[in-house]
Amino acid sequence: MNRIKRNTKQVLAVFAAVFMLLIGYLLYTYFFQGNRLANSYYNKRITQKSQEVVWGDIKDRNGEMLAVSRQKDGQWVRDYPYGKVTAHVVGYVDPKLGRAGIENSQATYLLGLNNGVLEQAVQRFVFHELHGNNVILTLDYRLQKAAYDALGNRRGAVVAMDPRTGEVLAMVSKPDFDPNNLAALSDKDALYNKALQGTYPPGSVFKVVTLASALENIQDIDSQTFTCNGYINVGDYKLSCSGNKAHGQLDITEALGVSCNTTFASIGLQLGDKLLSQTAETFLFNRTFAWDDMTVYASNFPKEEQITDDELAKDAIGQGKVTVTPMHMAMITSAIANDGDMMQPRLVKAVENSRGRIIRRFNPKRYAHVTDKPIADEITDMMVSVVTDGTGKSARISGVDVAGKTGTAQAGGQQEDHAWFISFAPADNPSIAVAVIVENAGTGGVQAAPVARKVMKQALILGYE
Amino acid sequence: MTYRARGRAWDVLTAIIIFNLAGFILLAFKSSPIDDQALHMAIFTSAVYVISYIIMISFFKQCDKYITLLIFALSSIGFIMLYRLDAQTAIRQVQWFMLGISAFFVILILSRYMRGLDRYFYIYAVVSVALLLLPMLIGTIRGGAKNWIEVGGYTVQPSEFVKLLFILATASILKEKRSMKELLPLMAFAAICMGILVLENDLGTMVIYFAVFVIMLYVATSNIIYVLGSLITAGAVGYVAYLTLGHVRTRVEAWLNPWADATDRGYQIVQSLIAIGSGGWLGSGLGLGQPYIIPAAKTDFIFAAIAEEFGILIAVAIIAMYFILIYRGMKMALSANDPFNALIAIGAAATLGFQTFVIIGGVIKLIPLTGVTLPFVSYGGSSMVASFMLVGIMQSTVIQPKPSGEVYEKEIIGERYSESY
Amino acid sequence: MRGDLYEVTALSSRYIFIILIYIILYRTIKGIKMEYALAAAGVAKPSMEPSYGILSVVECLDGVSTIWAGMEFPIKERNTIGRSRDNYIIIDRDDVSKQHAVVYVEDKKIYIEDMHSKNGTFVNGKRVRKVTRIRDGDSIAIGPVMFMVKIPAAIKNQEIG
Repeated sequence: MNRIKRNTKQVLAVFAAVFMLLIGYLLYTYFFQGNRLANSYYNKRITQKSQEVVWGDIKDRNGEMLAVSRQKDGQWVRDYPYGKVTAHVVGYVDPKLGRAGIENSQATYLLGLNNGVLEQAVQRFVFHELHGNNVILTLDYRLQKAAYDALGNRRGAVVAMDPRTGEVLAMVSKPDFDPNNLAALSDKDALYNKALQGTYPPGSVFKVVTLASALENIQDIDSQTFTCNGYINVGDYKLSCSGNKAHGQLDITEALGVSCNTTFASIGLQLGDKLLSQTAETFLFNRTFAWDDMTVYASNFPKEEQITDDELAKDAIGQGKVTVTPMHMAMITSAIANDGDMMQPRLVKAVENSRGRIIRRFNPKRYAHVTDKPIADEITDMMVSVVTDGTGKSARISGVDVAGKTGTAQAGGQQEDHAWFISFAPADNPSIAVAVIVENAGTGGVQAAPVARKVMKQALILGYE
Repeated sequence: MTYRARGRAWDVLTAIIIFNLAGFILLAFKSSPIDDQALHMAIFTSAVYVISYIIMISFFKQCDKYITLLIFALSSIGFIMLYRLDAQTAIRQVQWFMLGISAFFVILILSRYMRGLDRYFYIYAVVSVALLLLPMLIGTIRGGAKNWIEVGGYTVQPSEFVKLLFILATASILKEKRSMKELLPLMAFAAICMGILVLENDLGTMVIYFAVFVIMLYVATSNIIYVLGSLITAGAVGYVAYLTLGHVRTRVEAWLNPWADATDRGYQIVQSLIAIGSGGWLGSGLGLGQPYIIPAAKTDFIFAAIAEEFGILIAVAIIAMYFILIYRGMKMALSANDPFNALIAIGAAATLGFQTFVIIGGVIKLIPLTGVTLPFVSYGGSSMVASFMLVGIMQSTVIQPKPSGEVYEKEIIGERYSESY
Repeated sequence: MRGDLYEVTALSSRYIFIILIYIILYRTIKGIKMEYALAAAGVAKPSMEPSYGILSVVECLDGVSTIWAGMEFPIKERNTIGRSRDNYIIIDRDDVSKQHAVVYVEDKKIYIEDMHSKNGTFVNGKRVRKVTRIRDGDSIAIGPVMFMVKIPAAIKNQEIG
């Protein structure tokens, strides 16, 4: 009998734990996913509420209207004043295509589904019409336009953010579409936001991560000198520098400046797969980012039990199976600009009610510490020399130190290479970080760097400092 | 001072009645003109609670009034939610509730005269297996599971009622220390029951039977080897089922990543989570959400429907209520005076507790979803009555069977003061 | 009801529902705790020990945590009353002595004895100094508490018979 009682108490303890788990998991689910669940594409409540409530406006950080509800023939219609320029960020609401962008992720705010009793009572009894809340973005339309124009008709993506706060100032994806005329859409691929969902081989921009790993893990890396003959044999594989150009004797700063594949491949081999993949994961590779205002697809750094040396060498220079999204590249760039602290990128700055009173403000959040300040500073210095003396000269801005890195990634098959450029400015006190990819365009220094330069210059003119 | 004199149990009942009235009255005003039926429900259900409670404290004083009160609170939330979804369902649910509480009282009365319930293992076993086999012979398929039979126009789910016999049978064997050989008939019986349930595709109930069996086995024998053996066997069988049975795999995959197929296989769980997320801390307000979007909102997914309209704070309180309920059940095991009674109390409490865990866990995506009811809340006659019967046998363990003759008068006084404050 | 009015009412009543549910939860837990406290004091469980009557609390001033009006204590062979924890009936107030009084049964008759308490024990309003027999319907006052003695008919008959 006593044994039964003792065991009963144990069973009871197990039940207590299990029920705590239920409560804990319920709270966890709501706390971390509640918003995303409520705003889900599959939430039929939003479609139903759209019939009763006038959607709130979407504005940029300066109050520029990016999406407005207007009355037309006695009916409320959605209008996007800047159409294609902000199409991917703002998104759309369409009976056939569903919802996308901010219109999707912030639907509960835009429809005022979380409004309290007082707000509801005021709207119902005083105004006799239900209005959702307005969402204020971190986006700056002027920068967005600059990025949009700079990219022109080329396919690709641009992400610009404030490295200190994670505020996304511009996000462009090409090809684009006209949200005011979705019926005319011919190519559904245009709906796809490449900045968040496009995963590309990073090519040489990944060398920044390899470099961070080397600075962290190889004691005498600064004093090492490398000899580049234009190629390196790794096993049976011949890995060559662009144009088979032999760079001769160089140190690591010069190697980054000329983007020497041979040197970085040998650094990768020196590091070994374990340390390199550790650094890649510290920089948040292999992680899907699911935030309330955006979902960023996972960048990939291959994780294999056994890795051959030629695979490792390719990984170290951002080829092989490594892939990255433009947003993630912008986050990495920002982290280096921000002393190793990676801020959570944010698109939504605040929410105001229909009468213009701010009801919710979103604050900067440090998302991860990816490297230490001395290393970040050293990388910054090296990236500055990339722009002053190396492959990134076309990003130079007079009077301002720009830090940057070019990338020219093999796109596979007979296709032209993808052109990458990541950069931030001013180097000593960065206020803007930009990641640019131009698909199948050629070399990063020629194709992508000028785009980044235009965006940074515009930001500096506009007074981001 | 008179306030205190009535004790806390009356306060709880008062709060339940106010909650019940408030819910139905609010629903009555939802439609225009006012829905009289909702007002009738408000008064009728409240009266049922008060009368049942008075019967309880007048005639069954040893029994745990807090368990009864928690059942009232849970069923009230259930009634209101069902009425909001479909008035007719709620009315039927109240009928089931009355049938259930009657069954509960009948069990309590019978237990005063019943002795030696621990002698009939083979009867329990044969009847259990026969009842479980019935749906295979004359059953109807519902929601993919063939576990229903039709009796006089009503559908009955025998596996709900067999829970009771299963506990009695298991306790009958485990009340004494047994050798491995003596345990064999019990093992065989349990295996047959679970086998039938698997064939009928009633996985949720099977899991509950299994868990209750293992818990009772452990409590009675303290033998961790039996428990590990059972768990390993279950793991192996589960893995084979995962590999061979398509619907098992579908469920596991829908659990691991419901979003991969959000409109088909993951539909239920995705809609359930969205409902919970849409409701928020406070809920959308009674009658203002859209819980009818959730599949099976009246039965398996009622917890998600409640979370949507009543809010997460109330959902958390509901989980706490269930825990207190099984805690009190287990306490009865601790104060029982013989192993048979203790095992029955544990079996009944574990059944209710595990069932609650399985369905709430499934609805919030903590574990793969298996379709079982949320006791006292989900719509369903079999479930409601069987749950009451479980609480009935649980409570009956504190009632001393009436001995004949000599100490009779002392007993009367004993009963009189036992719970009179 | 008009849609708008209903919506605002339903939104407001969310708070009421939440408060009520938590009151139910809180009161239940409180009640259960109280029951255990009493069980620890040895009165909650139906005891198999013979009982000779009931001491029913008819009045109790506020501020006594262990006792309230409506409680009933079965009278056993020996029932001590006082402030300290080892008493059968605990009255946790300063004007009650640690060992205040004892009610006991001898030869099926019930007696009360004051244990030299500071503020005294009163039966039917009169202070008792020596052992006094108590009967059905007598009142006993100790500090802030007033008991009523109840002896069920079954026992009275037995006594006479």
